[in-house]
Amino acid sequence: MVEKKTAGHIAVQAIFVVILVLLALSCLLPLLYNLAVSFSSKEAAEAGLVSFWPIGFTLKAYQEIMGESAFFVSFFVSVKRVAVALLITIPTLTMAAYPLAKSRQEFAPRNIILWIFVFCMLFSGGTIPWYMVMKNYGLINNIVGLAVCGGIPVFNLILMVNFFQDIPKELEEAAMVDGAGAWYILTHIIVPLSKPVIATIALFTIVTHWNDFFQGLVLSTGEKYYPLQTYIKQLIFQVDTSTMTAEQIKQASMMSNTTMNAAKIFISMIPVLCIYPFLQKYFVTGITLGGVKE
Amino acid sequence: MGKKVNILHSRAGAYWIMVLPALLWMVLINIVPMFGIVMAFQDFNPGKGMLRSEFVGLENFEYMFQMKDVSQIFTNTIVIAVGKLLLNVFVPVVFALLLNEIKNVFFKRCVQTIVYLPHFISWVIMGGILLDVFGLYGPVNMMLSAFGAERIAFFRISSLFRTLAIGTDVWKEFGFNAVVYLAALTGISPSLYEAAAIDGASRWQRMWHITLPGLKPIIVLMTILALGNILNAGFDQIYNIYNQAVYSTGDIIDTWVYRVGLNDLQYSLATAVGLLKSVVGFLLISLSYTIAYKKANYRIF
Amino acid sequence: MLKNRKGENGSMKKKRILSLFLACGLTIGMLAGCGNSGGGAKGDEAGVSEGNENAENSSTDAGQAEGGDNLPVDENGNPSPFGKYAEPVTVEIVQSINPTITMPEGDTATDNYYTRFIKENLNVDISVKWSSASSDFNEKMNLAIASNDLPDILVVNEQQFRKLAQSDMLEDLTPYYDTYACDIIKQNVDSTGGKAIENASYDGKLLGLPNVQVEADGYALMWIRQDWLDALNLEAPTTIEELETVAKAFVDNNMGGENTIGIVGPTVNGKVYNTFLSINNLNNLDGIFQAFQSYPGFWIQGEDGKVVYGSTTAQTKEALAELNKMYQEGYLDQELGVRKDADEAWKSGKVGILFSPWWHGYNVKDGIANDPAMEWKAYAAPLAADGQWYPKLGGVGGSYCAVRKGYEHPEVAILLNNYLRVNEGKFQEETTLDAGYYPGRVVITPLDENSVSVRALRAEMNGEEVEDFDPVNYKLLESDLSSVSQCLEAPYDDMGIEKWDVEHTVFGRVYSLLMGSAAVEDAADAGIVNKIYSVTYTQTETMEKKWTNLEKKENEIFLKIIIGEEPIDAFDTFVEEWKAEGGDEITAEVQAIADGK
Repeated sequence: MVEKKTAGHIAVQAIFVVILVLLALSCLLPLLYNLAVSFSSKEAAEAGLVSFWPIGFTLKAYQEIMGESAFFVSFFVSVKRVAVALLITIPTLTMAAYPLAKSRQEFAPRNIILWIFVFCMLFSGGTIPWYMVMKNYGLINNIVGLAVCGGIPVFNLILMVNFFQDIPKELEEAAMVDGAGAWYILTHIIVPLSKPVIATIALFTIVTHWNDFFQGLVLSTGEKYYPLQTYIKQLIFQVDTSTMTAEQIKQASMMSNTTMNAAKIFISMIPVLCIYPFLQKYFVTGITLGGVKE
Repeated sequence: MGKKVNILHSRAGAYWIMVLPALLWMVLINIVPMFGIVMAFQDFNPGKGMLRSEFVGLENFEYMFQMKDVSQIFTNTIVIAVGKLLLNVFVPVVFALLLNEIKNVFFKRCVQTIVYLPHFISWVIMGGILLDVFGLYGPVNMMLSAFGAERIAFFRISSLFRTLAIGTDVWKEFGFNAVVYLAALTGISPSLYEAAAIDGASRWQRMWHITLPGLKPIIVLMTILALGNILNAGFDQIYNIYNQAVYSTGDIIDTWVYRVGLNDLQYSLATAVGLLKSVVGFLLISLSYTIAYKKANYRIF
Repeated sequence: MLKNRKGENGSMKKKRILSLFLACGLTIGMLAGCGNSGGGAKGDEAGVSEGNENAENSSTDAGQAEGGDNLPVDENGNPSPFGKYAEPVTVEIVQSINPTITMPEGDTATDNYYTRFIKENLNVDISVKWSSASSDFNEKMNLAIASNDLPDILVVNEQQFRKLAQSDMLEDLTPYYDTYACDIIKQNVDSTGGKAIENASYDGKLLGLPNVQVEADGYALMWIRQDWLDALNLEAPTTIEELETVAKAFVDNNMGGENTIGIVGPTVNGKVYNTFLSINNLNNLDGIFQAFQSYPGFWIQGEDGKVVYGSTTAQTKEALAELNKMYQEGYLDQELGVRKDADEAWKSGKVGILFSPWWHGYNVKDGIANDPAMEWKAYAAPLAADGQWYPKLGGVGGSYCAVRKGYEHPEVAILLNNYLRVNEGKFQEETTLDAGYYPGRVVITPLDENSVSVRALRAEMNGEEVEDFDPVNYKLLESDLSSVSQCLEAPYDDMGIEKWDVEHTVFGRVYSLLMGSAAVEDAADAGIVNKIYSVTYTQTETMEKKWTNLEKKENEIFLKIIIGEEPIDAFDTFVEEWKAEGGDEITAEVQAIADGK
C-alpha cells in the first residue's frame, strides 16, 4: 500500500488541512469568547468590552462558583441522571434492536413494531398531558423520572437496528449451527461487534440528558432537584419581558452576573467535552466490523 | 425440519422478551400522554379538564388557515426547514469524508473534538454571540469596511435572513451531525481500499466508489428521518435571532404560535399546530419509505 | 407449529394488553382528577381514579366545616383584618425566587423570617408546592394552570389571571375583601378610582387582590449624559429640534468613542413603544412619539368621544418620519431592531440619551463602575410643540394574588397582604431576606408614593419642615429621609454625581427619586403634564382572534419605516390594511367599552 507522494497529492492534502483548520477555528471562537468573559472583570464583561481575550483578568467568578453549593448539587443531579439514563437506555435499545433487525421471516411483527415506534417519534400529546402523566407515575423530583421522561429514543433505536442489519449473517448462522440461542448470539456476537454504534448511542444519550433543561424544570419542584442545565438556564437572562409584571422586570434588570454565568456555562461543558475524545477511539476506521464485512 | 421449527419457536419467544422493555417504555411514556391530542379539537378549559371541555371540531385548524399571511409563514417554515434538512446531511458528510482523508490521527481527533463544541452552546447564548459577530460593528463588518464596503446590519435584512438562519444552524451542528457518519465509516473494510489501491484507483475514485457507497444507507436513513421535521424550522434558533424587520422571511409557525400564546394562553391552538406538524411529518416519512422500497427496492429499516 | 406460534404471540399480547390496560386506568384517573373543578391539587396526589372524587368531596366538606369555625379573629373573637387563627392553618404557595438571592444561614423556604412572623401572628403554616427563578416562573405557572394543579394561593400576571378567571378556577373573594382587607389596602386600591377592582373582577366577582403600582413607574423619562452636555457646553434639550441637535453633537464629537449612540433603542424584539397590553418602558422611544402627541399602541378617546387606535393617526406618521430622519442622519440607534442588549450599550458608556422610567437610577451604579465620570440626569422631555408633556401611562397593576377554587381559607390571601402592607418598613429594618420570599405578596403602594417622597426629601434637604405623612402608608419614606445625608454630600444645591456615595445601599433609590421622579414633579409643578391613558388595557373578543396578526403587521412596518427599508407612505397602506383586516371591527368594540364607562 504505497502512496505516491506527488505534488498534486500534497497540495490536495494541504487544502483539506486548511479547510479543516478554518472550520475548527470558527467553532472554537464562541467558546473562546465565553471563556474570555468568564476570566474578565464583571464591569468589563457587562460593558461588552471583552472579545476573545480576558479584560481585567480575574478568577473571581470561578472562586464564587466554588462557594456555591447549589451549583454542585445540580452538577451531581446531572451526573446521576446521565448514569441512570445510560443504564436504562443502552441495554433496552440493544435488546430491542436485535430482534427488530431481523427479517420478517425471522420475527414477524418487526415491521409493525418499528412503525409504531416511528409514530411515537413524531406524535405526542404535548407538554400538559405529559406532565400530568409523569406526575401520576410519581416521577417528580426523581432521577429515574428524568432518565425515562423523554420517552424511548426512537431515532437511536433505528440507528442501532440499521447497524445490526449490516452485520454479516454468516457469523450468526455459524453460531446457530453450533446451537447458540438468541441471547447468546446477542451478547457474545452482536454486542462485541457493535462498539461503534453503542459508543455513538451512548454519546447521544449522554449529550441529550446533559443538555436538557426543560424536563428538569417541569419535573422538579425546586432548585435542589434541578439538573445542571436547568440551574444554568435560570441564570441566563434572555427574559421575555412582555409577559412579566413591572415588578418582575425591575427585579430582573437589577441583577445579572455575566462573568459568573459564563464560567458556569464553561464548567457545565467540561464533562461532555471530556467524554467525546474517550469515545472517539471506537470511531477509528476498520477496527471492528472491517475484518468480516465483504 | 422439526428441529429447525423448534429453534425458530424458541427464538421468537426470546425476541419478544427482548423487545418488551422497549415496548413498555414506549407505552408508558410515549403513548399514554397522547390522549392530550384531543385538545386540538377542543376549546380546552383547564378548569373543566379534557373530558368536559367543549369540542369545537376543526376550529383550531381553521383559525390557523384563515389568517391572512398563513402562506408566508408556511413558506418561511418550509424553506428554512428544507434548507437545513439538506445541508445538515450534505455538510456533515463532506466534512466526514474530508476528515477521513487525513492520516494524522492527532490532528484528526483535535478537529473532530473542536467542531462539535458549538452544539453544546444553547441558542440563547449562541444567538447573542451571532448578533455580535454579524452586528453593525462586529468582526464581519469590520472586515467588510476594511475592504471599503458598506456596513450591513445582517440580521435585519429580510432577504438575507433565511440564508443566515440555515447557515448558522448548519455551522453549529455539522460537527455533531458528523458523528453518525464517522461511526459509519468505521464499517467500511480497509481491505476494500487496499484492493483499490492495488488496482491503481485514485483518491477520488476510491472516495466515489468505496466510501460514498458505504455511507449511502446511513445518508438515506438520516434524510428520510429528517423529513419528519419538515415543519420544524427550529424555534429556539429563530426566536433568538429574528426581529420585527424580518417577519416577512423569518416568521415561522412556531414563533407565530408563541406570539399568539403570549396574548392568551392558547393550549388548544398549540396542540393543533403540533398535531399538524406530526401528521405532515409522518406522511412524508411513510411516503419516502414506500417510494424508496417500491422504486429502488431499498429498505431504510 | 403455526398454532404454537400464535399461542406464543397470544400470551405476549396478553401481557401487552395488560400493560396497556394499566396505563389506561392511570389515564382515566388523571382525566377525572383533572376534570374536578378546582381543588384538584390534593386529590391528584392520590392519582388513582376511584376514590379521588370522594376524597375530594370529603376533604372539601371538612374544610368548609373547619373553615366555618376557624376564622382569623382578634382578642374579642371577632373576624379581623389582623386576626389570628385558633387552629393552625396550612397554606400551600409557589415562589418566584431569583437564584442569586441567598438566604440567611439556617433558613429555608418554609422556615425563615417571614414564615416565622406569619406563624406567630396568624397561626398559618406555609408549605411550598414548588419554586423557580423568576425567569422560568411564568412557564411553570402556565403549566400548573393548564393541568389544574394549583397551589392554595398564587400570584399571577394579567394573562394568567384572565385565563384562570375564564376557566372558573378561582375563589370569589368579594365577601372576604369587604370583611378582611385592611384600611390602608382599601385606601390604596380605591385611589385608583375603581380601576384596580375593575381589573381584578370577572363577571361581577372579585377574583384576586390586585396590585397597585406607583404611578411613577409609567413615565418614560429622557435620561441624558449630563457630563457630555457639560463637556460640549450644551443645555438639556426640551424640544424635538433641540434633541436632534444634542444627539447629533454627541455622535459627531464621538463622546462615547467611535460609533457613539445618540439615542439608544430597545433590545432586540423589545417594543419600540408601550402598548395597551405590554407596559415595558425600558429604552423605548415613547418619549419621542409623545412629543408629536402620538400614542402608538394605545386606544385613545378623542374630545368628540371617538376612539382611535394610536398607531393609525397622522401624528404617528409624523413621529415615524422624524424617527426615520434621526436614523438616516445617524444619531438614532443604528442597530435599532437588532440591538443585542440596550443595557450593555449604555453601561459601557456608548449611549448619550435613553428613555426609561424613574428607576433607571437604580442601575446607574453599573455604568459608573466602568466610567466614574458617567452622570445620568432625567428630564420630562422632549415637549410637544405646544410646550406640554404627554406621557403615556399604563394600567394600575398587572399582578394579582388569587385563591384556588375550593380552598378552605380564602381570606388568608388578604390577611397575608394586610400584615405585609403595614409591616414593610419593619421588615426592611429587621431582615435582609428578599421580599420575594413573602408568601402571596403583591405590591400595593400609594399611587403618589414617589411624588410625596420627592417633596418630603426636598423639604428635608432644604432644612424645611417635612409635612406630616403616614409612615405605614409611605413605608420607605422614613428610611429615605434618614439616609439621604449618608449617600449625598451636603450642601444639596449641587447634586453632581461626584457628590454621591454610589456604594451606599440606598443610593439607587434616593438617586432615582431625586433625579427621575423629581423631574416628573418639576414638570407637574410647571403645569405641563397631561397624562395619557388607554381606553382599555385588556383584549376584546375579536382581538383574541386577530390581534397577533395586526400587531405583527404594525411592528414590522414601523420598524421598516424607521430604518428606511420602506418609504413613509407605506404607513397609509398599513392603516388601510389594518382597518380592513379587523382593525375597524376591534375599534368598534373598544368604542363600546369607552361608551359604557
